[in-house]
Amino acid sequence: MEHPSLTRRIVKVVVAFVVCLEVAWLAMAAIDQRQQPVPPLPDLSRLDVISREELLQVRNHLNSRSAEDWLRLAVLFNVHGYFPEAELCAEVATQLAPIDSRTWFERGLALHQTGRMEQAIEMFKRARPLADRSTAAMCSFCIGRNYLRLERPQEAELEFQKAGSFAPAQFELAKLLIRDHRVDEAEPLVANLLKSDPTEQEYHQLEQRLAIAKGDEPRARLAEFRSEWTSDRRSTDAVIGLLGSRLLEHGLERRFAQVRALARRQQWDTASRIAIEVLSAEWQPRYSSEVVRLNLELREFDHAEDALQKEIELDGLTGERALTLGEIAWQRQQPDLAREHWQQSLAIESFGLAAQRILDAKLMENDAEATRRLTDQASLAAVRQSLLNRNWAQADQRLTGWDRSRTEGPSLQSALFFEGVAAFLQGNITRARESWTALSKEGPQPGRVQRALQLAADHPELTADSPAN
Amino acid sequence: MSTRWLLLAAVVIPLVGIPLLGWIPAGGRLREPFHNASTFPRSELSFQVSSIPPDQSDRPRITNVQILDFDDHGSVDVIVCDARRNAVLRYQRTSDQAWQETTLGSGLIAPAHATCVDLDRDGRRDVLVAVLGNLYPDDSPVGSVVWLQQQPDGTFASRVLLTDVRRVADVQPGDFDGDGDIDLAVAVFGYARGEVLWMENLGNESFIDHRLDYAAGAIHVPVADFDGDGDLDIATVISQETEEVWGYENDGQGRFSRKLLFQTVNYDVGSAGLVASDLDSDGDMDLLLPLGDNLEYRHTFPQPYHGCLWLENLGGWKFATHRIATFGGTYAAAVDDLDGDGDRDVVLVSMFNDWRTTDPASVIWLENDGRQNFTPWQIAAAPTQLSTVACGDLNGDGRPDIVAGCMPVLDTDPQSRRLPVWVNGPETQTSRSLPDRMSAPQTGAP
Repeated sequence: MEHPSLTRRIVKVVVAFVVCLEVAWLAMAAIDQRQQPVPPLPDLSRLDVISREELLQVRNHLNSRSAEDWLRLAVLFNVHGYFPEAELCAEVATQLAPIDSRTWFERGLALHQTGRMEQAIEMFKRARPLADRSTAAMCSFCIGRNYLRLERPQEAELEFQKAGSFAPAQFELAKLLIRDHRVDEAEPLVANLLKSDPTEQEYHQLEQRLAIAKGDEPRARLAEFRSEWTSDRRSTDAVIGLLGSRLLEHGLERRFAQVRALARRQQWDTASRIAIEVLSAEWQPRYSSEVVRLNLELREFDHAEDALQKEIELDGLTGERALTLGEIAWQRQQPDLAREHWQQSLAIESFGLAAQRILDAKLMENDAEATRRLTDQASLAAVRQSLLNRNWAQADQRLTGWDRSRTEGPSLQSALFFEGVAAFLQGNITRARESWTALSKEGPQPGRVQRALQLAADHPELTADSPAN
Repeated sequence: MSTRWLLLAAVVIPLVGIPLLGWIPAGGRLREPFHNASTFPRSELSFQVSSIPPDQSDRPRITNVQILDFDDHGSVDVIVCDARRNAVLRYQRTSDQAWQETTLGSGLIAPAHATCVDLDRDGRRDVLVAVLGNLYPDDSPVGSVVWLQQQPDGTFASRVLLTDVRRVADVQPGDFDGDGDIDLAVAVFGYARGEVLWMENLGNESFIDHRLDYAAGAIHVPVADFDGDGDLDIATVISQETEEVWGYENDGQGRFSRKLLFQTVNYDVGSAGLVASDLDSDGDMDLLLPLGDNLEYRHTFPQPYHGCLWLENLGGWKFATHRIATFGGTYAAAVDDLDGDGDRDVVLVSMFNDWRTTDPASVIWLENDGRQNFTPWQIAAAPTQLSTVACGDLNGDGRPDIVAGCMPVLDTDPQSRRLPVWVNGPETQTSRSLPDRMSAPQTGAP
């Protein structure tokens, strides 16, 4: 049987030992904590106040042991153009969470932006096996683009192949193959891309290059023509796409997106308040235009005009700005001034919306000739827009509903040209040729008419293009 | 100490200590952030810095500057395209060494380039203006070519020669079909779509356009006899996602065949212009290709492949590519003999250097040793974000000076000046008298 005092002594020694361990552990933890890296703090003065506050909030509340926090900060630095700082933060995140693909990807992106391509490739290669399928494809795309920047097309090609059906990678691959004169290999890729999205003009341009490489001029001309009459989207650079979409999720741009969402719900007051906040944080033409638009909705014409005048002072007059000045004058019941501004807008953009506005407001001069000219300009603007929207039926409707009995000069020529375009895109080559031939009888025509006639000669039979959904 | 107290300590220490750990501030240091500013040794040539007024430092939008003797009156003028004032301006030196501004054309939305030529051959110099119609990315048909036709009284009448096209970045004259009148080469930059055209002069001041190429991003269309066969050819750089330099060989009748002169698979290289010059003085026309346009990104960073390439004309439409400078964000180039040693040197300006670092170069010159080995020298670190540059003898001392144009599109620059000037040579009475004074502006007449 043990002595009770001995037991107590043993307990005391054990407890003392535990206390010592605790103190030692705490001391080590304190030293370790002290040695945790401080997140970088670059000069943020060029950032707008909203983005700056968001960034500082994340930075100042960063838990230095949290990979998620470091990653979040890295993303913000990348979004706002502080790429070297983003790289440092992403590096810490990769150390804390080496099995998280996002950390490697972010580090790769920062290295990509700062032109360190070899290192960027390394990071994307680390990210790829850890990522889901779509991110892995994006990694392959980024690796390929960096090989291109290093002028190593063979390695780029292999990486684009690894991206599978990821359209931007297929696009790059086809482009490389065409440049390398491997047109037969490029052909199915181009066909796939066009099938996947016939409204992407870059695919038509790619087909044009393919056709030129194959020496097939009629096909090249057709691809050019189709490219002309599609949207103006450029979506094949996935890195730029990613950066653009990220912008909308952060800082000032997120606030601005909120303004647009509120405006869509017609919550003009709140939208206007936030829009002014955004504009005062950073002057940008887009923000200013939104403030003008919202003030017009709120019938705050003085504020709208102030913002617009500043926009013109800082960024110059455009047809659209003159159009809006006219709108303000019209709302203020200053019809003469409105007409003056709208005429100015028309002088800048002859097929702009100002013609229709003058007609709507019944501000025609007492002159049938002027009225007819305005009607023609407005109709042309509308037809062109229908064609660009791939709404052939609407274009046709607008052309047939337009009394052109007295239309002449450049307006008639444009109308005939558009008529031919609408017919051609619907597969009615005979009608297209008729329109364009009629046009060529009007005297020397711009090159586009000659090209169109050549196109009709190239393709006596053609099926209709797919209209927009 | 009693066991009871020890037990208490064993419980309290972690309870109190662990939360306290969170209050200990981190003090570890990350390594220094990466920097990639292009800086160079100070120029051994001295330059006196000044500017053409008005300075208007808030968001200048200068798209093009040129130095030439506009009306052959014996001293040079500076022709400026100003996309903020939407005007083409002429700056002349007055007898009291001030600058006098004349508006040659106004209401030109974002003029990109002005070319001075007597288009109608009436003995008076006219101006051809490539009008973007919108400085920002825009694929709609807002561009035009405008002819500012000089009238007998010295005023300019504005006539549109080409409309219903996308953004036009350059127009250059030349008789391409050998019929004795002046035709035009046109770079329609556009945005997503664009084209290269030549416009045949049909007489009676009417033109018809012919397409040479269909691609977005044509910046400049220098015209010269690149193959030495006696007729004028056209060259262009197609930027955007193409990054190719093309020559269009003229058969003398206005029929052109395409020649690929340079291409890279690095679609991020950022071609920013194309300058024709006989850099190696061997009698044929070479091309200079500044690289550094990053405008597709909202935030930019100088890249290792930015700088300037010299495309050496070897004859027979063969061009050898030589890198003559690595310089972050290079946006424009000009050629002149800056040091007066008889060979051609190059001046480069940067739009996107790493401006956050100390002393990043915004203007440099490349000294040619006569065998086309180039040594870079830094002229200035401010103002930043320069979009255009020209060389010419502004003060009549026989030495070429430098004028640049400022276009801070991404960040504001407190040191920004519309038209900074670097007068070549040590400070003298003449160079002191150049800057910063403005006589009353004139409109319409030179």
